[in-house]
Amino acid sequence: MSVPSSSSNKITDNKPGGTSPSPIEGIEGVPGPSSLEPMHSLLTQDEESEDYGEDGEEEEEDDSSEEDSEISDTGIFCDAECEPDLDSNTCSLSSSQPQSFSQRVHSPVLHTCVPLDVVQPQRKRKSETEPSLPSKKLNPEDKSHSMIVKKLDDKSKHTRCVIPTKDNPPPEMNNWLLQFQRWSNAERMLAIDELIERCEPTQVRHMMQVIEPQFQRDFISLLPKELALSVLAFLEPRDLLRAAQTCRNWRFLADDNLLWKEKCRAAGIEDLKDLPPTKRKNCRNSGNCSSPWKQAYMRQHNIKMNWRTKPIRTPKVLKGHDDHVITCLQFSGNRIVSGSDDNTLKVWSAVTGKCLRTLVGHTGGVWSSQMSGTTVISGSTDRTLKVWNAETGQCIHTLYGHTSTVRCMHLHGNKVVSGSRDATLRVWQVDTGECLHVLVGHLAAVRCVQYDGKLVVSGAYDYMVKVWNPEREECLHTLQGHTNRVYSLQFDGVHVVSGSLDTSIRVWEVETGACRHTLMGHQSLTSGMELRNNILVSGNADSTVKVWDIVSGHCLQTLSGPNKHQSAVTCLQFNSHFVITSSDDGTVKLWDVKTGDFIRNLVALESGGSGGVVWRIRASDTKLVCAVGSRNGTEETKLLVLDFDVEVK
Amino acid sequence: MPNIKLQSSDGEVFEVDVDIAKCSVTIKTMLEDLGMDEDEEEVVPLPNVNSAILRKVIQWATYHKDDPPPPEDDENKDKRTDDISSWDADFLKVDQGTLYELILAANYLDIKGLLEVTCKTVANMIKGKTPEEVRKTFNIKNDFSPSEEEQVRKENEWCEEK
Repeated sequence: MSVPSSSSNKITDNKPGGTSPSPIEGIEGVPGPSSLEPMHSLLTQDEESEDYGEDGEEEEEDDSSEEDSEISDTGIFCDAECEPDLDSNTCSLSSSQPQSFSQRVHSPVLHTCVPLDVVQPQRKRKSETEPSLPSKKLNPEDKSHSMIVKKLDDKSKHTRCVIPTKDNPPPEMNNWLLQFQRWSNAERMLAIDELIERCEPTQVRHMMQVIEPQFQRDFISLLPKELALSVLAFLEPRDLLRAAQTCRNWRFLADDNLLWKEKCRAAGIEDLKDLPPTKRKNCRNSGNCSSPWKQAYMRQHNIKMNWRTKPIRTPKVLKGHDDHVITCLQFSGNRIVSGSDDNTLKVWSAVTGKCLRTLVGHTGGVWSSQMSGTTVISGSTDRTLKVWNAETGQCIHTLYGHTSTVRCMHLHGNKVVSGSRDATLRVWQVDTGECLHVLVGHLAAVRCVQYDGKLVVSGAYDYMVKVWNPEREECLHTLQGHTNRVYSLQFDGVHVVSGSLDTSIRVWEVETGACRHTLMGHQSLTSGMELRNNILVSGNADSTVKVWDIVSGHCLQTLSGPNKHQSAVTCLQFNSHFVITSSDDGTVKLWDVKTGDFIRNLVALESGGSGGVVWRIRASDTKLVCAVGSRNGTEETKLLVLDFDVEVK
Repeated sequence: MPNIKLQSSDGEVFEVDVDIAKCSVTIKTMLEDLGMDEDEEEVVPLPNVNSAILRKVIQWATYHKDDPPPPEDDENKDKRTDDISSWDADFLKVDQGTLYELILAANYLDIKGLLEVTCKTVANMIKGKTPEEVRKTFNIKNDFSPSEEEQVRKENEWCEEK
């Protein structure tokens, strides 16, 4: 309401407006007690036209402003004035006698500062209630006040209307500042308090904006590097990435290689070997090489996201084995080997999807296989094992000895142990094809075997699990407890874990042969298991998967719920993040190993539920190979290769 | 408990319980290396710490005097920042300038616990903020050229969970 409405007025206001007319005048006028009146006149003189103009206009508004000035008269704002002379140990505005104001003014000592002080209090009050209302004329009875008020008004008007710059400061400002510099610390403090008191909210806000940065510290740029890094070390990778986008300094530090090495370590990335050399080169070329460890971390994160959430790229389809069943699957490096009941194995390139070799020679279906480097070993219903060179496709050895189907095998180093329906196990030397040992003792078909280079563990249809010393061909322990056929085994050198058709899983101590835990919960045959670091994941024909802690014997997670498999689980694999499971329902599902949450279907055959099944899966960090088909012709037998690697740009 | 005297850079002398002062490895070493006897009236000068900060440091050390000694290797330690005690959090409700000087002082005086908690506090000021928010918080000027900024943004893209 108080702002002069006419534009001409504003313009005139401008010149003197340079913020300071009033304060400076105050100073000039200070000379003494009586200065106030002269000041008034001085002021008007200086600012001639505007002032007059203002006067004219503002008179009308006087009534309202009167109130304000009255208030200010008695208000606490006047107190401060006395302090400057008091040696000013305190800058508090809040002390005391309003009356001191006028006295103060007259005190010779303060003359320099007083006017200012005097002026503000009122002003401030006023500005609070009616920021822009000029109030010069108000209190005739209190001249000094009104004069002051007027000055202030002028000032505020000026600030409002003028745009002074550093190059073009109001002429009086220098004196004002010089005076300030002459004061003692305490005096300055007081002056500041007083100045703030009579600033309008927008001006105070401006002050804050100017002052605030002075209390801000760019810690990362200012601290010594090692301290900045120890701050950054507390950030999650995600926050580090954001920090790197702040400015150049931060980017440099947030890309620190050792910092990221630590993040990698925490994420289980132990070395840089996974980093494709091409990537490193690219980054060097682009001249903004961030740390190799950071790249490794980002790569792993992006791959993880590709598994979890990114759109799944169209899989490569590797057709073969006609309408036969793929019974076993190996995947290592860029090589895939599929074994089938069509009596052959096929070697595929995981990169191109081409079938490189077909390993022909068995006279019965292939039901088990192992692969190491370029060596492939297969077991068949023709009672033999064959050792192949996967590169040439050549059969190097045919291992004779078993008298029935070779149903399972485990390769370790240069030795492979095979289990057969003939109820025996045989230990073979792979390079020579020689049969080293025969382990006799089971009373029915041997269905699963594990070999760690020292001990052989076998599970059989006689419900038994046996621990063997192969060299001495001696059965060390017969692990009794299962009440039905044993189908699956895991062995980590300490624990033997056996899965049985009796629905239970048993954890045994290999040293003593004692049964540590019987893991109950599944309702059917445990067909596949994987054990890593005392965490066991079991897939069951009851269509669920369970995660166990084999030390405590507790079931940590059951992978089920609304998105569970609709049919028997056929195969599984897990790492520190995920469990991947395949099923007779024609899907491959991804689960979070820690929470047990279903993440998504990686594969869902259209023929799922009407015959299409996923028989086997094998995964690397970046690829998933699935052997799929059907028994009723609804789904052609094939391999699907899904790629989750970061895309090369 | 015997006291020792610590002198700040601006000349103020603080009398502190020796055991409390010794939470600073720097002071501890000084006392040992210089063979300063506890009953001697010597003053330990701390030319890198002003009185305001030294007062804060002593306050912190006094409160934490009975803490178990910090573990030696923090190599494999969890880098969590949500474990700041409420006393420390209150203690560190200071302006950035003070916090900054506390970090330098903790580093100079070699007080592991204080250094850690101050660094964590700064880290917490960064966490969860966008680059622009970080700049605002610490009054940082964005000195990337537009093309550089775009490059940096791409380089530091974080693929979110859903």
